[in-house]
Formats: sequence, structure tokens, C-alpha cells
Amino acid sequence: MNIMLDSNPTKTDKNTIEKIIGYAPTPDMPIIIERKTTKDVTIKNTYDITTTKGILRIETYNNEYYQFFKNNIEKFEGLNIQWTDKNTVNFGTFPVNSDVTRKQFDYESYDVLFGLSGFDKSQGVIIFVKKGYIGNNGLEKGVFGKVVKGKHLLFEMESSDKIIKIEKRQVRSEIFDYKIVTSGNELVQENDHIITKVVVDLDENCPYTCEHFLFLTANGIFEITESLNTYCKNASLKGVTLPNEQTKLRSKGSLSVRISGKEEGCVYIYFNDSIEDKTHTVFGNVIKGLELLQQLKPKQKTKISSSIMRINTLGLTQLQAEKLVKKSGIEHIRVGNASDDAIIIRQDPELTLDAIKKNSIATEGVDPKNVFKVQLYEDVAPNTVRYFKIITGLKTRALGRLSVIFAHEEVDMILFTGDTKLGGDLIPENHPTNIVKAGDIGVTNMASRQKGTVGVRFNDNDEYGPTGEDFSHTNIVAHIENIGALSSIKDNDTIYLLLDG
Amino acid sequence: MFKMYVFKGGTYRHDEIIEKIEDLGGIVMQKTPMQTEIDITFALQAPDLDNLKELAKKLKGDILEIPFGDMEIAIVSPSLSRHHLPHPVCDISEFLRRYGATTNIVGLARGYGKTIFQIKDIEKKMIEEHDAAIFSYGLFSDCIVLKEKETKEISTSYIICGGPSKMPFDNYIGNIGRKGGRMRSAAEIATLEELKEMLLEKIEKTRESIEKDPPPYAPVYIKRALEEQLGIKGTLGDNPVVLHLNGLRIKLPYNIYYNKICDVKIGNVTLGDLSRINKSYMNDTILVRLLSESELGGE
Amino acid sequence: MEVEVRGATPEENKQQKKLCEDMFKDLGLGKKLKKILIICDIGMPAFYVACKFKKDVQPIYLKDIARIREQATFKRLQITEERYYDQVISILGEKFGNENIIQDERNIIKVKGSTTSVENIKIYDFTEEVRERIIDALWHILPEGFKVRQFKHFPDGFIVMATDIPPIQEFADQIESMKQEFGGEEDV
Repeated sequence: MNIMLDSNPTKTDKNTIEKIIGYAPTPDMPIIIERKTTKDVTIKNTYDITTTKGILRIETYNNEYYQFFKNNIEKFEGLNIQWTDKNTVNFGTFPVNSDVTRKQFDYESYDVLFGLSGFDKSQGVIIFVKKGYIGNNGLEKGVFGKVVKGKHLLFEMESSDKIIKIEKRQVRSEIFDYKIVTSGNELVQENDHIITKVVVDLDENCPYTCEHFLFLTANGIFEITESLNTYCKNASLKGVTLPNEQTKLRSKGSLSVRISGKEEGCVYIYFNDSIEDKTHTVFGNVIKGLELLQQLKPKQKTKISSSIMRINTLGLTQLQAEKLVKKSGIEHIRVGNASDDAIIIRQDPELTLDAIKKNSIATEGVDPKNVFKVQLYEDVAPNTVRYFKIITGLKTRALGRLSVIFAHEEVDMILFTGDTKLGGDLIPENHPTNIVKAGDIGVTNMASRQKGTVGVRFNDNDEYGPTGEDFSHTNIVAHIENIGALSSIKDNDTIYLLLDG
Repeated sequence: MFKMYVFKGGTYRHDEIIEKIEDLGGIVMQKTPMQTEIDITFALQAPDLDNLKELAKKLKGDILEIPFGDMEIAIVSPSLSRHHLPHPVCDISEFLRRYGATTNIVGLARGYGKTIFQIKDIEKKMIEEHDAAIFSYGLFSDCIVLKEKETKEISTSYIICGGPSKMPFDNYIGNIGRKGGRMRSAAEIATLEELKEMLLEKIEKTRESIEKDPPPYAPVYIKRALEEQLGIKGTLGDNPVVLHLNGLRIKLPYNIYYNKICDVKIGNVTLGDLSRINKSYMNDTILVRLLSESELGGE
Repeated sequence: MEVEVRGATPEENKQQKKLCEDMFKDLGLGKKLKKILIICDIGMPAFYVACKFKKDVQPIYLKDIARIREQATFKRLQITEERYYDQVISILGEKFGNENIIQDERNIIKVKGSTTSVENIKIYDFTEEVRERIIDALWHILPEGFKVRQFKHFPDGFIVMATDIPPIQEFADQIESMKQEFGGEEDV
């Protein structure tokens, strides 16, 4: 049968989802099937009357005058203006079969009705009311419609104008049903459209924001944290500050990142047009799969991809970097330590989009012995780990770094720069009880004035922590295995950290 | 279509409400902090109002609709003398302001008497600049019937208030005739509520007809652009940009500001391309009337 | 105070009555007026207001507020109501000459060289103040733009008539009939 798979027409002889797409969806990561039910929807008997001055759109009421109008449309096409006055515009003439009356009626602005010229039944006219008035038009109150668009044209009409054409407005509206599929043996019907993933297009004017998104979706998955009618949102990278690269209308399908406030760093995908705001950078749009996103609930995930692959070589070896860069088709230059197993600590340009624009990337390597593996104590010190990741850059990069502020061959510890402001949030957690081990990385918590400072000791100590503070003023956040290798580190050096595992 | 709301709650964590409004594509109009409480007036398009209300409830606050928040209403008094002011004209004005309206009291030069009553042409034009008008006439039905004949000429939506409880025409609210004191009894407040309901009905009709042929950008959006580009937000004194249902009034001198306002950027065009900008008949203010899609030559 | 309104529909009469009652009470005239009749002739249009004061709105004479003792060459007055000191001195001074009025103590006044009796000298006529406040109330009650065409005084009240149009005989007739109804004496 003929079906559509992610907007591509496909022919298949299989009949279940799993057989067609090759894997089974789960409640965590569902897909959807879109089925069309086309209906011919007429919009409330609306007509477009084309005149020499422009189009008048009228909405009609269901009464005998409307029936007369509907059945005699050809008679009204080509009618000239008979006269205009302060309150009305009159097109005619044509014969009318109703009784003549001299009764007065109250007409409202923009009413459309039938009347008679000179109380003569053979001289019927269509009257458009410009301004409400009380008067008589020869017939009973024959109002059958109201002008909804083009009102201003009535005031511009002159004796030379006429009705050219009258057309009924008909809109073929396509209504879709969406079925969420969470298992592989869902049956597929003819003409179904199976949507399994989301594909986005990124704007090259927003390199920082795009990098943020590429980091978020590095594993090809987008998870929903919040889903509303207007947008859905992912909050995994909440707290990351980005510059405002582009303020633009958030049209349907737009991708944006919030750049200020408590929710900064969150990624939003919009389902309705929303006006632009300085607090959001719009950096791309969804080209396929928006309907799938609209059906997902919080904690559900979907596959997501873009045409751009993230080029992040930090923490890789020069050889691994070369293989990665080759896939993007741009030039690769080795600088610094260029040997195959040198660890990359810097890439230039830093951002993927900049590298693609430049069509080349330089990767600076260092001897692997300057790169240290760390093990973060995520379970017992989550707050401190969050802080540590932000100040080392490990939150958004595979390679982190620490700057040395104090190292002396006669002193048993090394101190690194922290952030006193962010350190103010460090509540005491996971502080050492009897002894601090060599290699344990500690951070001074909010109890001390030197909050935020990071330190590590070469030897065990049962009195003071790795930053020289009391045990109660220290949070142990991570552990470095080969601490001995740090002995040659001096003031103002930088050390590089790779996450272990 | 944008509707106006107000958040009333504590200042603690009110920034979360503001962030949510920005995320939903709304516009924060005004923040009024009062010690530990804050009122945030904002405009929002409907779809996720419930979600915002839930957040407000979590923060022990409340979100109320202010149906007249984007309108200017004229309360027309037959004269500015003791017979008609302050009661009931000021009572009506104050009551409607609680629902967000910007009100102006227009005192007619010859609005009193029976045989000498008239509304001058310029007064008529002033009243028609507003989105709605409330006429406060007196106690005697004979007089009100005469005055109504002339009031009918006004093209903007209007409601007539008077003493007798019923009159032979629509748009009428009774039991608000001449009052000796403030309207504060339960019955009087109920009458004011009735007035508000009738006004709401009329305004809904006007809003629907605008919705069928709307301007490409909502007045609230234009207001934000004006305030940002002309740097007039946050000035002391009254709100310099007042919203109308399909336009704005800018309380700045016409001769000095006309060109600057024409040049304000909206999307890819300027405000001068999207609207008719005229000098108002009231004081030295500028009236901006946004053109609808069909007037701009659209579909 | 009794207020009656005639001439318009029952509902309008009732509302006008409430307005008038509020007006008079606010101005402190509730206890001073006995009866008020308002006729609203909307067709003309003309407004008639007739007021009758209560009998106890009487002027205050010197004998009401002072103990008078006749001495050989002068009269000795002991004033019992403090608020009238100033008025007593100024009125007696006008009548007998300032040099003949001596204030020995705060509430003792000597009047020299007078042979006439002083008991019935009018010190304060509240009716004047009442009249002023009534004018204020009338301004509220009568519709704006109406000009007062007739104002007839009586010792215990008045009738006022205001209209939008030039005066005609019918106005005088109506006032006459109201005068009969209120039982007023001839104009003062």
C-alpha cells in the first residue's frame, strides 16, 4: 500500500509499525500516525462581491431574502450603481416580486438588503448601508447580510462603479486525526502518514545558540519538560547564559532559547505564532515533525536531527578529531602538540557554525599527561557538582578547565579559582568526617568567606579540607586518580579535566 | 486576539509570572508594586491562560480579566456643574475604571435643559474618538426622549443612563438619574453592574467585527514598539500611550512628534504605512487609527 | 419635613422626591422645614417649589438670652448664651452708639443713657440663614438652565417658579393655587 513516512511517499507491503520503521516505539518515545479526513467546509454562507473598487465580503443570514439572493446571483453580476447618498450605496436594477410598502425601518451600519427605486417593483436595488439610519426602501426590512470586509470601499464608490462578480466562499479544510503509537504492532492503513522524528533547520546567524542546541541534542534525542498549547520546552540546560543573537517573530515551528531570567538556557519549540520578545533568541525552525511534538507529554522523548552535525573536538585525541572533522567535509589543521594521541584542549573557531562558515578548524593538542580524569560525586553532592560543572565548563563541554591560583612545592595542596557569587548558593553537603583523602577535590561552601574556592591535596589530612578550611566548610565534589601527576603544576597554570567514564 | 488581564499577588517570585507571560507571547503592560503586593497588567492571547492561572494559584495570587483594559470610554455629562458632577458621572467613571477602562469625562456646553439641549459638532467628533460613550441624562422621560434623538447621531457605541427604569429605546440603563450622594447601596451597585454588562455586550460585538478584518498588528504590540522606540515608557505622570480597540491615542504634542511616530518601525514597515495618524480634537494629542487588512490591500 | 412631588410619572416623582430629601438633609434643613411641595410640569417645561417653615423657627430677642436689670443711669445685661456676645455688642452699639456700651466683664454689658426698653431688640434671625441654605438647595433641585421667573415671600415660607421659556399667565395661576393650598398670607 501507499503511505507517507516522515513526509516521504513510500510503498510497502508490510502492515505493522515495527515492520515498516524497523523498531518498536515505546511509551517513553512514541511516534504518531496522521490520518486525513477532508471535509468541504463552507464558511457561514459568505460571499465575495467583486466590484470595480475592490472586494466586499458579506456574511449572510438565513431568511427568504437570502434565498432570493442565492437563487439570482447571475442577475446581480454586472449591476451598476444607481445612486449613492449619505447613508447608502445602491446597485440595480432588477425586477422584484415582493409587496411594496412605505413602512419605515431601522437599518444598521453595513447591512445589505433589497429595496426599490421609486417604489417601483421593476426597479429593485441591492442596498449597502454605509451609516445606520431610519428610513423606508419600498420593501419590508429585507436585510439578508452584513459587510465584514471592505467596509471602507463603500465610502469610495462613485456612479461609474459596478458589481463584476459574486462568488461563494468555500474553503476545503483538511482535518487530521493523530494517533499516538507506543508499541510496535499497531496496524497501518492506506494513505497513513507515519511521523517518527523531528527535523530542524538552524539559522547560521546564531552560532552560540545553535551550539547550545547541538550540545543538548548531541545524542539525537529531545525530551519534553513542559508542553502547552503555545509551545513545548526542554529544561535540561536551564541556567546557562547565552547572548541575545537574534530577536525575531516566534512563528509556528520556531526554535528559541530563553536568554534571561530564571528559565534562561531552556529551549522552546512554538506551535502558534507568538510575537517576538527580547528575552528569546530565535535560532531555527522545525521543517518536519511538528505534529509529533504537539502530541507529546512531559517526560516523553523524540528523535531529533538537523542538517548540521556538532563539531566538538575538546577532549578527543588529534586522531579522533581528524576523523570527526572529515565527516563534516571541512579542513582540519593540527596545532600545538600534533601527535595522534595528544588531547585537544582548544578548537578554533570554537563554535560549529563558525567552523562551517570558515570551512576549516584548527585543533590545539597537549600532552595527555596534562589532562586529568575526574570522577564527579553526582549522587552525594548534586548541588556542588552543578556548581563545579558551571565553573569548569563541563556543563556544556566534554573538557573542563581549572585555573591555578596557588601552588607551591612546599605546600601540600593546590587552590583553583572559583566563583564567589555562585558559591553563595553552596549549602553544606558531603563534607568530610574524619579524613580528607589525597586526590579529593573540595569546594569551600557558603559557611566561609572564601566560598567557591576549589582545592585538592596531595596527601591525606585529618584536620583541614582540600581548600585549607574546616571540614564543615568544605564540600567534596570529585576525585582525581593520578594526583601525583599534578606535582609539577605552578601558579597561573591551567589544568584540563575529562569526565571519567 | 489579545485580551487584557491583571495578576494580583505577592512580590515574592512574581518574576516567574512575568517570564511565563513572555514565553507565551504576551506583553507585560504595567507593574504596580505596593510594598509586599504587586499588580501586573498584561495582554495575552487565549490558548494557555489556564496554565498561567495555575501558576498564579501556586504563588497564592490571582488572575482577573479586565475586559475594558484596551479601551477609552467617554462619560458624557450634560454640563460640568453641580447638577451633574460628581454624582453619578464620577461614580460611573470610577466603576468602569476598576475593569481597566481609561475614562474621560466630556462636559457638553449646552447639554442641559429641555428646549435648549444640543450636542455641538465638535463635541460629537470628540466623543466619536472613543471606543464607547456613556451618556448620563436626568430624571424625566420626556427630556430623555428628546435628547436621545440627537444622541443617535453618534456613530460610536453608546449607552444612555437616566432616572426612569424603562425607556422606549435600546441602549438604556435606568435608575441612574440625578443622585444626591455616592452610589453605594447594594441596589445602586447592582445597577452599575448592569451598565457594565450591557457595555461588555456591545464591545464584544465591536470586537467580533474587528476580528473579521483585523489590522496586521495588534494595538498592544504597536504600543510596545512606540514606547521602546520613542523612549516614552516610565515617564512620571499619566500613561502617554492609551489603547483603543483598533488604534491608539498618544498624549504628546502633534507638531513635535508626528514625524517621529510615522517613522516608528513595525516589522518591515513603518507605522505611517500601517495607519492614519491625525491630530485629535481633544487637547493636543495624536490619534492613530490602524488600517485593517482589507484597507491595506490585503486578502 | 414632608416632601411631595407631583407632575411627572409616579416613578419620576419618587426619584425627584429622594433627590430633594437628600439635598435638604445634607444642608441641615431637615428640622427647620415643615412641608415642601414640588410640581414638575415637564411639558411646559416649568418647575414650582413651595416651602413652609416650622413655627419654631423664630428670631432670637435680647430677652431670650440675657438677664436685664434696670439701674439708675444704665441697664445692666448679663448674657447667658456665649455665642451671641459679639452680635449683642455690635447691634447695641449701632443702636445707642459704641461709646455707651461698656463690657465690664466677659458676660456683663452696661448700656448707658438709654430710655427705651431693650428686651425686644432682635439679636439673631435664623430665618436669614435658612433662606440662604434654601437657595443653595433650590439651585440643586431646579434643573440647570432654568431661570427663576417668580419668587414670592411669605412670613413662614415662599414659592419659587423657574422655567426654560419666557413667562406666561399660566405660571401666575399655578402659583396662586399653590398659595391657597399652603394657606399662606400675603407677600412680605
